[in-house]
Amino acid sequence: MHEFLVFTISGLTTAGIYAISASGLTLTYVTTGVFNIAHGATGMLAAFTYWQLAVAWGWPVPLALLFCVLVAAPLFGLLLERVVMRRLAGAPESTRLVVTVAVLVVLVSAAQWLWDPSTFRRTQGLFAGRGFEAGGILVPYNDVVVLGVAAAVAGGLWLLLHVSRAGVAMRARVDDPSLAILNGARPATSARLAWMIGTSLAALAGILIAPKLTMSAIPLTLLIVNAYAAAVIGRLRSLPMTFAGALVVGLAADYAIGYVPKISYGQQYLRGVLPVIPVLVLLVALLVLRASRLRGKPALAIREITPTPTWAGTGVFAAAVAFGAVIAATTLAKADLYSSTALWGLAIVGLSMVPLVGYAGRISLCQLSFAGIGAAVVSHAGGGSNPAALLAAAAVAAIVGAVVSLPALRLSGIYLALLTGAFAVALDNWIFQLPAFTVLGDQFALFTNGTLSVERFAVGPLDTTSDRAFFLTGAALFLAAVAVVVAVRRGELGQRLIAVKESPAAAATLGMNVRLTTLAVFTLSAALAGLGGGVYASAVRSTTPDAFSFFTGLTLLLIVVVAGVSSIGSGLAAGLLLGTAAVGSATGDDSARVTATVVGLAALALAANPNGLIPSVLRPAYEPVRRSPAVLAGSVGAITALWVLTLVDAVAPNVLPLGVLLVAVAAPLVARPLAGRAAATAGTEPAGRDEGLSGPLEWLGFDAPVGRADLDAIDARLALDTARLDTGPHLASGKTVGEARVGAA
Amino acid sequence: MTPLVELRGVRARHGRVEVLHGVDLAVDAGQVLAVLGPNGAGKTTLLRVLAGLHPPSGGEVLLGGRRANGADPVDLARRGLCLIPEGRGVFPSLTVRENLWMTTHRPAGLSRAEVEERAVARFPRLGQRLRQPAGTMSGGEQQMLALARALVCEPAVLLLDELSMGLAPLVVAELYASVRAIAADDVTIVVVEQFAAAVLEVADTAAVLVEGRVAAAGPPADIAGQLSGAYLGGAPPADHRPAGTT
Ligand SMILES: Nc1ncnc2c1ncn2[C@@H]1O[C@H](COP(=O)(O)OP(=O)(O)OP(=O)(O)O)[C@@H](O)[C@H]1O
Ligand SMILES: [Mg+2]
Repeated sequence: MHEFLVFTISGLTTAGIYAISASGLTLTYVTTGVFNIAHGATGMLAAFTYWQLAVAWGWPVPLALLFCVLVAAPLFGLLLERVVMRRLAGAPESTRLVVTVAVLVVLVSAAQWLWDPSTFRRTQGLFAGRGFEAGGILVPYNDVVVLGVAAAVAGGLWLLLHVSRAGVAMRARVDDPSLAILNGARPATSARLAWMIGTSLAALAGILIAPKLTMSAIPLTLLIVNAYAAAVIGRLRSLPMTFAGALVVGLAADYAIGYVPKISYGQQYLRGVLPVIPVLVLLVALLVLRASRLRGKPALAIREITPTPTWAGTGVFAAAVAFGAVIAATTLAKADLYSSTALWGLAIVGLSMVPLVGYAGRISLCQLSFAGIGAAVVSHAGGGSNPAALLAAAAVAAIVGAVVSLPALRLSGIYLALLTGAFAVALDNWIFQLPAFTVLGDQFALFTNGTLSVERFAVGPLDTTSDRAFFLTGAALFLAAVAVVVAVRRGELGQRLIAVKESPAAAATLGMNVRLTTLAVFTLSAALAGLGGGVYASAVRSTTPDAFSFFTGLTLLLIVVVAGVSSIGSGLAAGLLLGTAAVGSATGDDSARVTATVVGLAALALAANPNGLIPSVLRPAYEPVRRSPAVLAGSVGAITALWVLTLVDAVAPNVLPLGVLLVAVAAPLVARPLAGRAAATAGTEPAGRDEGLSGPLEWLGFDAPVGRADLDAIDARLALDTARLDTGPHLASGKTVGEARVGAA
Repeated sequence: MTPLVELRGVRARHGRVEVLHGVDLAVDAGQVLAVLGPNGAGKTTLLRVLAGLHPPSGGEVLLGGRRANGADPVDLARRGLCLIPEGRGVFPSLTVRENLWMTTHRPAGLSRAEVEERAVARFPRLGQRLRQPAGTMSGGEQQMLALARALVCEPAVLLLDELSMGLAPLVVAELYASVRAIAADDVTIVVVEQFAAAVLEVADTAAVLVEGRVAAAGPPADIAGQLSGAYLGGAPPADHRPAGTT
C-alpha cells in the first residue's frame, strides 16, 4: 500500500507534466491548425537552457525558471511563428508535418552542437528534492508544485479559450479566418499569442521533466513526445480529455516503473518496455478511438504536382546512375569505396518513401524501422552467403508493413504520422534492444549483443564479398527497385494512389477500394525498405540498432522530401548524403549533425515549394542537356576521357571528381542557349505531329497559317465528317493568330 | 453632401482575370443600396473590395470622402464597417454567446451582458440557444445570429451578401424585415441579393451589376421595371436557388 501511494504520487506528477506539455500542443493545433511535431524538441531545448543558467552559470533556480518559461520561450515561440509557422497557412497537411519534423531535427542537432553530448549533465527537481512527511510517505515539494502548476495551467487555458476575448478570437480564427478579420480580430495576433503560450508550456514541461534522466537531446525530446499520447486521447481538441489522457499516460508509466521489475518471468525482455509505455498508450489510443473523431483537416491551397515518370526518362536516369556507379567503383580509393557501399541500401530505403509519401501522400515515420527489420532478417538468414536472405528481408518487412498498415488504413495526416512514429520509437527503444529470445525452439536475437553481423551474398559466379563487386551489385539492386517504383506509378496502382490522394471521397464514389490500395502501397514500400535495410547491412557488414534509429529515420525522410518526394532521384539523394563519405570528408566528425542541420534548414523552405528540389530546380536545369545530343555526348565524352586517364594513372585521382563537378555545372549552362536557338530555327518540335496536320495540334495557327488540310484532319480526328465546325475568322482567312490580332487592332 | 460610400472606376481581379471592370457606385449616409446581378457578376468581389478583404487593382474606394484603397480590413471593421459574408456568417464551433462576444471591441464600453441583451431583444429566438454551438443551428437562425452580431456593434456601414442564400421565402421575409428596421436606424447599407423583390422593397436605390460593370442604376421602381427580362425573373423562386451556384 505504501509503495502504491509512492508510485501514485510520482505518477500524478508525471501526469501533470504531460498535461502541461500536451495542452500546449493542443492549444497551438486548435488555434493554428499546425501539429507541431517539434513541440517536444522545444521543451528539450528549454531544459538545456535551464541547465545552462541554473547549473552551469549558477543563477538562482526561480530566476532561471522564470527566465526560461516567461522570457526565452515566448520569444522563441514568436521567432518560430515568424520564420516558419506563418508560412504554413494553406500548405498541405503533409508539408506542415514535414516542416515541423524539420524543426525538430534542427533543434536536436543545435542542442547537440551547443551542448557536447559526451559531457554528463543533470538537473535537480525543484527544492533540491526536499519534501514533507504525510502518512509515512515522503512527498517531495517538487511534486506538489508540479501538480499545482498543472492545475493552474488547466484553469488558465480554459479561461483563456472560453472567457477572454483573445482566446475566443483564437478559436474563431480556426473556424473562419476571414470572418474573424471582419469581426475585428487580428489574425497575426492570435497566432503569435498561441505560439508564445504553446512554446512556454513546452518549455515548462521540458524543465520539469528533465530531472528524470540525464540530459541528452534525443531521449529528452522523446520523453516529452510521450505527452503526445495524452493529446491524442484528447483528440487534439478537448483540453479536459487531454488532461484525462495525461493521467492515464503518467500513471501507466510510473506504475510500470514500479511494478514491472517485480515480475519474475522474462525480466530481461520487459525491462526495455518501460520507457516506451507512453508510446504503447499512444498506439492503443490511436487504435481504439473512433476513426471519425480522428479526421485530419483538409487544407490544400498549394498543389503538389506529381508528373508521371516516363520510361525514356527513367532510362536516362538509370544510364547515368550506372555510369556513375562504374566510375566510382573503379576509381575510388579502397577506404572511400568501403565507406560508400552503404549508399545503395539507404538509397533504396529512401526510394521506398516515394510510393507511400509521394504518390499516396501518407507520411510514414517508420521506413527506417522496416529497414532495421530487413537488416536483422538478412543477418539471421544470410549465413553462408545466401542471396535469398535479401528476398526474405523484403518479405518479412512487407508482412510487418502490412500489419502496421492495418490500423493505419483508417488514419491519415498527423494521426498516421504519430502511429508510424510510435511504432518506430517502440522498435528503436525496445524491440531492437531485446536480448536473445526463443521462438518455436529457435534461438533468435534481433541484434545479437547489440550488433548484427552480416555476410555478403554470392550467387553462382557473382561474389559480392569485395567492395567493388558489392558496390556495383548495390547499384543494380537500386535500379531494379527504381524500375519497380516507376512501373507501379505508371500502372493501375499508381493511378489509384494519385486518385486516392487527390480526393479520397471521389475515389471511393468511383468504386475504388481505398483500403486495399493503401494496404498495397504500405506493403510495397515496407518491402522496399526491408530490402534496402538488408542491402545496407550487407554493405557495412556489422551494424547496430543506432543505424535504424527514429531520429536517423526523420533525417532520411527530410532529405527525400527536400529532394522531391515524388521523384525517383530523391532516394539516391538520401543515399548520397547519408551513405557516402562525401559529406563526411567535407565536414569531418560532425557529418551526421551537419547533414541533419542543413537538411532541416532546407526543409523549412518547403512551405513555399512543397514539390522539392528535383522537380522544381534540377529537372528544369538539366532538361535542355537531355534534349541536346551534342552537349550530352560532349559531357559523357569528357567524363569518359577523364575516367580513362584516371584508370591509367595519367592524372591525379582527385581530378576526376572535380571534372565531373565542372561538367555537371557547365552542361546546363551550355545547353540552355543551344536549346533556345534550336527551338527558334526548328520552329516547332517535330515530335507529336499528328496525322495529316502541318504541325502539332496545339501550335496550329500560331506560327503558320492553318490550311484546309489541317481543318479536314481535325474534323476526321473528331469524327466530324458530317457536321462542319464553325471556324473562327482568322482560320478562315488563312492568317495566323498573331496576324489576325494585328489586323483587328 | 459627399456620399458615405463611393466607388470610382473600381477594378478588381482574381489572379489574371479581371472581374470588376471599372465600377462607379455611391451611397449617401443612411441610404440603402441594393446591388442585383446574375451569378458570377462580381457582387461578392465588390463587397470584399469595400470591406478591405480584396485589394482593388484600379480605381478608388472612398469611405466618408476619404480614400480607403488597401485599408486594413481589421481597421475598417473596428471603425464600423461590417460585412456579413456569403454563406453563413457565423463561427460554427463557437457557441451563440461566444459568437456575440466577438463584437465586444465595438462600440467601446459595451459589456458582454449588454451585447447579449441587445441581440436577444432583436431576435428572441437566439435567447434559448446561447450555449449552443452556432454550427448546429438552422440556416435561418444562423443568419439571424449573423445579423444580430452585426447590429449590436452599431455599424456605420453594413454590407450584406445574399442573406437569403438557401433559405425559405418566409425566413427571407423575416430577415428583410430586420434589415428594414436597421435601415430605419440610419445605418448605411449595401445589400447584394438575387431575390430582387425582397430587396427592392427595402432599397432607396438599386444597381444592376452584369459581368463586372454597372448595367443600370436608379430608383428601385425603375430597376424593377427593367428586370422583367431574362436573368432575374423578378419574383423570387419559390424554392432554393438552383444547385451549383455559389
Ligand atoms: N477566389 C477566386 N479565384 C478566381 N476567380 C474567382 C474567385 N472568386 C471569384 N472568382 C470569379 O470572379 C467572378 C465574380 O465572382 P463573385 O463571387 O464576385 O460573383 P457573384 O456576383 O457574387 O456571384 P454569385 O451570385 O454566384 O455569388 C466569377 O466569375 C468567379 O468565377
Ligand atoms: Mg456572391
